[in-house]
Order: sequence, then C-alpha cells, then structure tokens
Amino acid sequence: MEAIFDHLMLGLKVAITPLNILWVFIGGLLGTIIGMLPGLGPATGVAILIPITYNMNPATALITMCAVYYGAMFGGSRASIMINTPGDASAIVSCFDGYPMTKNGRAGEALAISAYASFIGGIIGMVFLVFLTEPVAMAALKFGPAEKFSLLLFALTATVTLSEGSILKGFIAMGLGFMLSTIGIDGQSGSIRFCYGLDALQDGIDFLVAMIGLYAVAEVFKNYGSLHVKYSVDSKTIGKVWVSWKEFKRCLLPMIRSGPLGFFVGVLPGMGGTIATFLSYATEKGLSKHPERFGKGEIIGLAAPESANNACSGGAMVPLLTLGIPGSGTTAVMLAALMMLGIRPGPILFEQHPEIAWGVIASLLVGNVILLVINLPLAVPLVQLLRVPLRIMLPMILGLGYMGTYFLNYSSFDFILVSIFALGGYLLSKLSVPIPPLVLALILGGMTEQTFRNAMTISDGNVATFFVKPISLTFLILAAISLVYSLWRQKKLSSPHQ
Amino acid sequence: MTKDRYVGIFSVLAGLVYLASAIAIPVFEVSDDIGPRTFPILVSIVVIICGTFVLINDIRSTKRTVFSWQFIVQKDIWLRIALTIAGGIVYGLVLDWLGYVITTFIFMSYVFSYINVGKYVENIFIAFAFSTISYTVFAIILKLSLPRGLLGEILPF
Repeated sequence: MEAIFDHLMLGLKVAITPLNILWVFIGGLLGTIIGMLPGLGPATGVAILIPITYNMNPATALITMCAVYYGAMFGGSRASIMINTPGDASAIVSCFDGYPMTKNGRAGEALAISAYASFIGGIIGMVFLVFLTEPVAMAALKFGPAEKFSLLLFALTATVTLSEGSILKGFIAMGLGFMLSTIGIDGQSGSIRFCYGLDALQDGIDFLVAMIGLYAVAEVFKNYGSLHVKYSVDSKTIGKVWVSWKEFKRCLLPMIRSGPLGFFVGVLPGMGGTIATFLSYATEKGLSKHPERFGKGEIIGLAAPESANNACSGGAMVPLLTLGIPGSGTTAVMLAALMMLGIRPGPILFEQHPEIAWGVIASLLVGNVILLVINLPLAVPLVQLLRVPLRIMLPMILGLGYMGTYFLNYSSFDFILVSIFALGGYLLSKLSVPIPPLVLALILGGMTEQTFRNAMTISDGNVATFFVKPISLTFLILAAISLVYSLWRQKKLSSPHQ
Repeated sequence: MTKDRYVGIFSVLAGLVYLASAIAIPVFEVSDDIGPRTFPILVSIVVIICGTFVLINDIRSTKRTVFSWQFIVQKDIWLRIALTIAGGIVYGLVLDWLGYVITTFIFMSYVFSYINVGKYVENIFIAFAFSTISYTVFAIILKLSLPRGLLGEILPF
C-alpha cells in the first residue's frame, strides 16, 4: 500500500509540472472538440493529433495522448445530447435519454450531469488502475516466450470474439494484420519478406502510417456521404449548465455503480466503451423502480453510461501500460505513437521508467479535473462547434493527417501507403470487416511471431511447450472459451427460432 | 454478389498469394530453427480456412442480400475518394520541393473545391489560414521540421 502511495506521488510530481498541465489542457480541449464531431471518435482524434507529440519527452507525449483520449470520451456525448447524433459508438447510449432531456428543455442539466458522470467514472477508473497495474505488471515480468505468445493469442482472439460482427471476418482481419506485420526484413534471420522488389518496404510498414490511413483518412471517406447534413444548435434553449443537488444525489449511486463495471469491461480486449455503456444502461434500467422513464429523458439513463464510458477508458490503460497490449483502436494508436518515440509499454516500463508509467496514471486525475473545468463552463461555447459543417472540418482532418504522415519518415512513399490504407479501410468497412483486429494484429504481429519462434526454439520445436506451462495453458483455455462462447452466441442469434 | 462472397474470395486469393510468397522466402543458415517461413505459412492457412468458411456459409445461406458498391448511385462519393487519393499522393511528391505552406495551401484549396463546392472565397481563406496557422504551430512553436521549399529564402524562420 505504501509503495503504491509512493509511486502515485512520483507520478503526481511528473503530472503536475506546468508544461504537462498545459498539454493536458490542450489535449483535453482538442479531444473534446474532435470527440464531439459526429462520426469521429477518440482513435481518429489521437491519430491526427500525434504530430503535436513528436518533439515531446515520452511522459509528456503519453500524458497528452491520454488527455486527447479522455477529452474525446467527455466530448462524445455532447453531440448525442444536443443533436441526437453520437460522436462515436460509445456515445450511442447517451442519445437514449440525453436527447429527450434536450427536447424537454433540460439540455443544460444533461450537459452538466454528463460532465459530472464522466468525471466520477474517470476517477473510479483511475483508482482501480492505481491498484491493479502494479500486481499485473509484476506478474507479467515472470512471463517467458510461451506465456507471452499465449497471452497475445488470447488478447487477439478476444478482440475478435468479444467485438461486434462476424467472428470469421474478424479472424480474416486479424490475418490481414499479421500479413502486413511480416512485411520487411525479418529481424531473426535477415530474410527479406513480402517486399516484392520495393526497397521502401524493407523496414516494414510504419504502424502510424497505417493508423493515419485507417483512422483519419478512411473516416473522412466514410463521411463524404453526409457532407450536406446541417446540425442546428440553439444556445438559448440550453439554459444554465447546472444540475440540482436533488437530481445529482439521485444519480450518485448509479454513477458509482457503473464505474467499476465500465472499468472491468475496458480491461478486456475488444469490449470497449460501447458494450460498457449498454451494460450499464441495462443494469440501471433493471434496478430502477421506474424503468418506464428510461428513454424519455431519465437523468440516470444518461449519468450511468457516461460514468461507465470514462471508467472504461481507464480500464483500457491496464493492458496497454502493464502488458504492452492494446485492447482497442485508440490504445493501439497510442502504442504505435509511443513505439515511435522509443518507448515500449509493458512490465519493463514500470521497472525502467516508473516516472512515465506512474506519471501517466497520475495525469488521469489531473486530466479529469481539467476536463470537468473545460466541460462545465465551456459547455455552451463548445457545443456551438457542432454548427461547423463537416465540409469545413473534413479537409482540415485530411490536412492534419497528411502532415502527420510527413513527420513520420519525411518520405513521399508514406503518402502512397496512407492512401492505400485509407482506401483499404474504407472498402473493408463497406464489407463489414472489422478494423480493430487488423490494427492490433499489425502492431502485435512482430511480437507474436518473435515469442512464438523463441518459445519453439527453447523447446526444440515442441508445440507442447504452450500446453505444459500453467500460465500459458490458462491463456489458451481462455482464448478457447471466448471463441466457443462467441460461436455459441452467434449461432443462437442466427437461429430462426430466436 | 454478397458482401460475404467478396470477403471470402478476397481472403482465399490473398491467402494463396501470401502462402506462395511465404514458401519462396529464402532461408539463411544463420536463421533460428523455426525460420522466417513458418509463421507466415500458419497465418496464410488461417486466412484461407476462414475465407473458405465465409464462402461456404454464404453459399449455404438462404437469406442472401446482394451487395452493390454503388459506383453509379454514389458516384460523387467515389469521385471525391479518387480525387483525395490522387491529391494526397501528389501532395507527398511535391511537398519537399514547393515547401509546406505553398503545398498545403494548394492541397487544401483543391480538397475544399470538391467538398465545399462553389464557396471560392471561403475556401481560399480557410486553406490559407490552415496552412499558415499549422506551420506556425508545428514548425515555429513546436519546432518540428517542415520543408520551407520555395519560400525558404523569404521565410525568416
């Protein structure tokens, strides 16, 4: 307990420097704005704002990216409440009661409770993160190649099976990601693989090029169909951004209940904010004495999922920081950006650079306070940005995306790759092939192959090595359970009798 | 064709091409015991198997929905995508030569011309503001290296 307190103090020393506080403010504000825009989520926000972190030290860079992530989570519900259009999938549930509240003339109350709930969820997520990271990181230090490979296999399988959509298509996306990860010179043998004579591919595909293509440019392509949509936001109808103590007290328990639920959903790869918010909404509706009020402007129906959503992003930081394994598109983009800065999150990070790991964790506390300050008094001016039409915003996102591409390697070839990834991402999404498994496999493919080869070399080519080690076997069983459960669930859903 | 038919055919073809390329990877004596081929071969097998299952499920399915890319109905969207891809590649090719401010101004004006159609003055104003403000923020304040190109002689920083 004392060690955790010491670590937290170390982290606060890093997080509460004027420079880091400034970047948390800037990142949080930009994240709130991007998260608020319909169709653009936190992954796009982090992808296009990566260039601002290029000259930063790794701690400040990660703190800034976290602030963008949290900001996007805070901002995601603004559009749900005001215009019934969620900023991203995890803000869908906020439409259910947030928009009816606006229609009932309670927009100010809805904006206020969503900010308070996001804050409470964020703080609960941070507290759980503080107590969970150390034991997980310490346990992970004992993992050998076989355990690491099985863990990666479980994380990737869970990303496919727990996320929405077809499992087979998810595995195909994962396979495509692995294929892309093997392009370039093989580090263990020196063989040149899958370059097809192109020298520019010998260093492999830069993760961030893929991220910018898949999450920034492809998102712009997806929005080309809704260029003429206009949103009307009448600031006069918002009123005071304030919630009465009576209403706040009524929401307090649901917000506190939803926090841990959101956090633990966030820890699992592939689950993410969407499932956390739906679970929290269903739970509160089930527990309510007046379930009939849900969907008609019930304040708890907005507060609970908002809390779960922000706690979920704290949960998503657990596998990223302690194991170096991202569980979502946003954390995958963050991992790619960190690797470019020479930092590999994982258990070693806590040993070698505790100031980075704990600085980031402590910054979540600072970040949530700053975001509450941004989202309460600035709520009315911020929602005015929803009036800016997409036909003005989209070119700017393209501009930032291409500028970020240039910074990576100063190579014109990267612009071709970004275009290929953007088009590929757009076509795959048209065919309902999920993108997150592809992205995670691309980032983790190198490590997956390396640990597989190391484990096999140590065991003289005996595959049984993955099954005789208890921890490795546990991860493989978990992977099998998640696969079998998902197949059963999919079959049940597609059954004509259901 | 259905979405699944496209996905299945693409996966099987991609898996086969990748498998053939994996088998052709040269192996050196210094390599580890497993070598550089094994993992790619396993990946290609998984992709081919999944693609085949998607195809089989699609053929056996009784409620197939025909999928169309809507190249004609949504020709505006496809045209914008093609223009963006072409513009993005040219942007990358001339960036070092023309410099960030000029290239970005031209690129943004070009993108605005087919997204915010007809608003010439607004488009040029925003393109100019974006290129100069982003240069100021990233190259001057954040001290990131952006090419000055033709303006190299004029720009004082």
